[in-house]
Parts: sequence; C-alpha cells; structure tokens
Amino acid sequence: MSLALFRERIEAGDVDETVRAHLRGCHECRAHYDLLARTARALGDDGAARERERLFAALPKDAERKPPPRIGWLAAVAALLLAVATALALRPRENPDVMLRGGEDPGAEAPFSLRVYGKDAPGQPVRLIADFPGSKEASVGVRSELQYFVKPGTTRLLVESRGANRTLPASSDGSAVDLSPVGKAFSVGAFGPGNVEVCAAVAPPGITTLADAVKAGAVRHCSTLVVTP
Amino acid sequence: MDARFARGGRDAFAEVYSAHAPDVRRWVRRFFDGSFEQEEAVQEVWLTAHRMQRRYDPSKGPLLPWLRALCSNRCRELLRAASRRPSSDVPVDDISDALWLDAPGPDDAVHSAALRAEVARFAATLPQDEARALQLVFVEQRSHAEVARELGIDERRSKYLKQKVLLAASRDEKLVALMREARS
Ligand SMILES: [Zn+2]
Repeated sequence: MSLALFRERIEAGDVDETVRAHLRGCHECRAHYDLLARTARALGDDGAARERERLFAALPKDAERKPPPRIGWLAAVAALLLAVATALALRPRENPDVMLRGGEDPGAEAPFSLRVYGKDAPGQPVRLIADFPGSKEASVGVRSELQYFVKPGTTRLLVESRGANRTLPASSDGSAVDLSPVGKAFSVGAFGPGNVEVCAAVAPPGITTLADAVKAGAVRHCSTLVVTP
Repeated sequence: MDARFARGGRDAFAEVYSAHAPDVRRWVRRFFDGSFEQEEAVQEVWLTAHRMQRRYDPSKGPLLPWLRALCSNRCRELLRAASRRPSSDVPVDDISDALWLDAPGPDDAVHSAALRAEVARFAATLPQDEARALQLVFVEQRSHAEVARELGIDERRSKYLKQKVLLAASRDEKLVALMREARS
C-alpha cells in the first residue's frame, strides 16, 4: 500500500489493523493520526465506542459457556406466576405489521431484550409490538400506547426515547426475575411527528442516565419506532 | 463485582471494563502522549487483564488497585520494549504510582471550558449540514445510521460529513493551538 493511501485511509477514518500496523512504524502517519484523534476528542468524541469494539473483537471467544443458573423453588414459582400473569394480561402475539431489519451494531450483541408491548389505540388489546434491539425497527400507529419491559428482569436498563418534540428517559430497577417494566406506559403521539428513536444500555453501577452510561463505556443499542398516521 | 470478575467469564470482564474503562484511559495518558500509543496501550492493558482475570484474588484486596498496578506494569513494559523513557514525569519506583496516576491530568478541567467555546466558534463557521453532523456525531455520539435518518441522508454521506468536519477542525489554527496548549 502506498504512503499516500495510508494517509487517505486515516483521513477517511478507515483505520483497520493493517493501517494500525503501519502506524506503529511510521512516525509521520502517526503524528497525523494523533492530530485527528485529538481533534475528535476536542469535538466531543472520546473514542470510547471504538475502543470497546476493538477490544471485544480481539478477546478470545469464551470457551466455557456458563451453565444456566439454577432457579430455586420460590423463584421458579414466581417466574411461572409472572409468566402466566403476563400472558393473561398482555396476551402477546406475533404482529405481521412489525418490520424487521438487519442489525447495524456489528459485533455488539445486546445482553438484554427490550420488549415493547402496547395497544394500537386506547381500549384495544395489548400485544407484543417489538423485541429490541434484535428487531431494529417496528411500526406503530400514532395513537398507540406503549409500555417497555426488559428481559431478563434483573437488568438495570436505561432507555431513552427521542422524538421530534420530546425525549423520554426511562429505567428499570432490575428487581424482577423474568420481565421488569422499564418506565411507565406512554402514548406515542406525545413525541410529535415522525419516528421515535429508542436507545438503551445496561446501567453501569451508580449511573442513572444513558449519556453517562455511554461515557462510562456501556454499549448503546438503538432501534426505531416507525410512527404511522 | 470483584468476586464475579475473579470467577472468570466474558460477562464479568465486560462489567469491569464498563466500570473502569475511563480509569484505565486516564492512567495510560500519564505514560503516553500520543493518541495512537495510548489506544495501543489501553488495548494491551485490557487484554492482559482478561488473560489474568482468574488470577485476581479478591481476598487480597479490591480490584481497582490490582487493575492500576497491572496497568502501570504493562505501560512500563511497553516503554521498555520500545527502548524508550516515558515522555512524561513517570516516577522511578512504584511507591508513588497510585498518587501520581490518580492525580488530575494537566489538561482536564482548566482548558475544557475554553475548548468548548472554541469548538462552538468553529461550529458556527460550518455550513448547516456539517454543523448538524458535528452536533450529532461528535457531541451526541450518535451512530451513522441514526445521523442518516435524522438528516435524511445515507450512512455513507454521514461518514463523509464526519470526516470532513474532523479534517476542517484539525486545520483550524485557533482550535489546534488551544489543543496544543491544553497538553503542555
Ligand atoms: Zn506512513
């Protein structure tokens, strides 16, 4: 690869392990890289997301998969009751309207699933609308009422739903076994026109906002509620 | 968290990484000045921590000092391997390590306000789409997919705008001067 090409790739932000190998030995390219990295930091990008992605790609895959946790009698009954109660109350079923699309967070497998349950309009039956971030997109009507849940219920999850008019933060306290509610029920119309961006991350200890969680290295998983009239 | 880490496994490692990534970054900055070398060292430190995960013994003390010692040892090894003296004022013994590593960096608080003002001035010189891209990509740390949706462009264009803004900023004399000052 020619030297000009390395410089071009650095400027294009296209820095893979080949470019990094060159940077280790080339003072001039490294100085250029450093200037751009320092500039990015000044602009607000501390490189934490890239650092995490590169590190976890380099880790050897877990040889031992953890055995499933042994559930005690009490917990098992509680989980069963909760599952039955949830099934009765919410009657989740597959929704043919949900649009699924491939992931856009390569390598970042979410350790949780954010279930979106809701009614298409007040008075309608509750159904399972989406399973984020596995499905990156789901459509909902503008009159829908939604409630988020997180699975496993022990996850302390921070969620931010962002629409044109408002951003709604929500969190789960991680106290349930199977499903924990995340925030309160809300109506989609309150976000104003257009889609709602739903981003979530597992809360590092002591952290209560999504922005702080990301700063602390947590991976943010984002999906979209496509709002239809 | 410390005991979970000691039992091994990727999840426990990820949890510790999430909690202490900013600490390791801060410590490494005391050993290396350049961003590239800092990134390489951070990666080395965490890969070493992953290899040593099961050797950590929580009965001998909390995780943070263990991680700090591991970090400073690895950074010293990296400097030795490059036959280099540390570019900063690294203490010669380990005794004052903790104090030195956890002291606030020279650039932290004082310059960040001035830098923010300078970034705002720079942003005001940009065309509207680039200024929006700066806000979304750098300040709000949104993904290119999100930026693309927000601005009604495709992801390629979002990536292009990001790099364009970054290059322009790296050529902005006042901004670069202030960044230099912040590190001295
Ligand atoms: Zn070069």
